[in-house]
Amino acid sequence: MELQSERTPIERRMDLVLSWLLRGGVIASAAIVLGGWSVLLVRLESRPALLPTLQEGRLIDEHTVAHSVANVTEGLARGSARAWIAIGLMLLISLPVLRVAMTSVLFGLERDWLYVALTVLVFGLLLSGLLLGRAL
Amino acid sequence: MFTSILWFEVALLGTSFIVGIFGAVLGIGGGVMLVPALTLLFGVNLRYAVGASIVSVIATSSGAAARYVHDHLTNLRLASFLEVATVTGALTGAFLSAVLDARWLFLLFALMLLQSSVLMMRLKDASLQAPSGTDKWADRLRLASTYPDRVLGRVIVYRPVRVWLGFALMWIAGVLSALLGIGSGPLKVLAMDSAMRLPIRVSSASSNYMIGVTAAASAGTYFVKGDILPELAAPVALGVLGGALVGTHLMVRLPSQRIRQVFIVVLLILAVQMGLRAFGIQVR
Repeated sequence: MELQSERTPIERRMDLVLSWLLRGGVIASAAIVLGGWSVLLVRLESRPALLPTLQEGRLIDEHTVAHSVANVTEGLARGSARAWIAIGLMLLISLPVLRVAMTSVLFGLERDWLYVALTVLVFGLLLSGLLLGRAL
Repeated sequence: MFTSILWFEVALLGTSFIVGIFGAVLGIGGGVMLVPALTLLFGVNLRYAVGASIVSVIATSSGAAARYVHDHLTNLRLASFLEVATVTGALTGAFLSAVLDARWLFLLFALMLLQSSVLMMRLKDASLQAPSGTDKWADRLRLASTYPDRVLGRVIVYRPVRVWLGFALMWIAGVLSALLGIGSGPLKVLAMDSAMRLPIRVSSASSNYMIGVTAAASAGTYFVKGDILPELAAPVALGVLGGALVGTHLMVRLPSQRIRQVFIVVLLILAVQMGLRAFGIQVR
C-alpha cells in the first residue's frame, strides 16, 4: 500500500534529490571500501603481528597509516589497499557535509531564505570545525 | 579470543551488521554498542574503537537517511534547524574538553538518562495522539509536517511543542557528545521524543539524518590523528551499511511503542556505561 504524505511537489522533489545524493554516495564509497578491504584480506595472513598490535593500541607501521591527503594520494598510486579504503571512508565522511550544502541549494530553489541561512550557517560551522581540528 | 586476523575481520563485519540494524531503527550511531563490543569482545584498544565508532555513526546516518528521506520520514526543516544547535554544541564541547574534568559529568549524564527513560516509559508515542501543540515557534519555523505511517496505515499529522527546549537539549547533546565521546544519537532522539513530542519514527529518522553531521565535524580530527584504522573501519563501515539497509526496512514496519521500548533498553545500557565511567571504570 502506497501512502501519500501531504507534501508539496517541491518538498517531494527535494526529498528525492537528497536521497539520490545519499544513495549514490553510499554505493560509491561502499564499493571502494569493499574493493580495498578484499585486497587487504588477501594480504592480511602475511602479517601475523597485526592482531596483537591492534589490541595494544600502538600505531601500525606508522608509514602505512593513511592519515593525510598527501599520504593517501601517494598510497593510491602504489595501489595500497589501505589507501583505497581511506579514500572510500573519506567519501563516506564527506557525505553529511555535502548533504548540508545540497539542502542549502534546495531550500534556495524553494525560496525559503530562513532555511538557506540556517543551512549555510551549519556548513560554515562544519568547515571551521574541520579547520580548527586540523590546527589542534 | 581471535587467533586469526581473518576471523577477526569477518566477526567484526557481522557485529557491525547488527549494530547497523539497531542504529537505523533507533536513530543512533551505535557507539553505545560498538565501543564495548570492540573493546570487550575484540580486545581492540579504546582509541581505535572510538575511531571505528565515528565511522559507524556516519555509515548509519548516510545509509539510513537515504531511505528515510526518500520515504518522507525525515523532517528536513526540523533537522536543519536543530543541526545549528548540535554543531555549535559540538564545537563548544571540543573547546571545553581542553579545560574541564569530565568525570562528574558522566555521573550527571547517567542520572539524567535514568530519569529520561522513566519519563519515556510513561509517555505514549506521539503518533498515537492527536497533535496538541500550540508552540508559536513551530509555526514560525514551519516545523509541523506529515509522514506516512505504514503500521497505522494512514498519514500522521504532527506538530512539535517546546521548540526552544528541544533546541537547548540538542545543544547539550552536541556538547556532551564532544565531551564524552558518546551518546549523541540517543540524546537527540530523547529530545525530539520527550521534549518536542514528535512521533518516534520522525525522531529516529531525523536523528539518523543529523548524527552524521555532528560526527563529520569531528571525524576529520580523528583521521588526521590516525585513529581511524582501515583494518577496523572497513569491516565496520561495510557491516553497518548492510545492517542499516535491513534496519530501515524493519523500522517502518515495527509498532512505534515497540521501537520506543527497545530504545529505552539502550538508554539504560548507556546509563550504566556512563555511571561506571564516573567511577573510573572504562568498559574495555
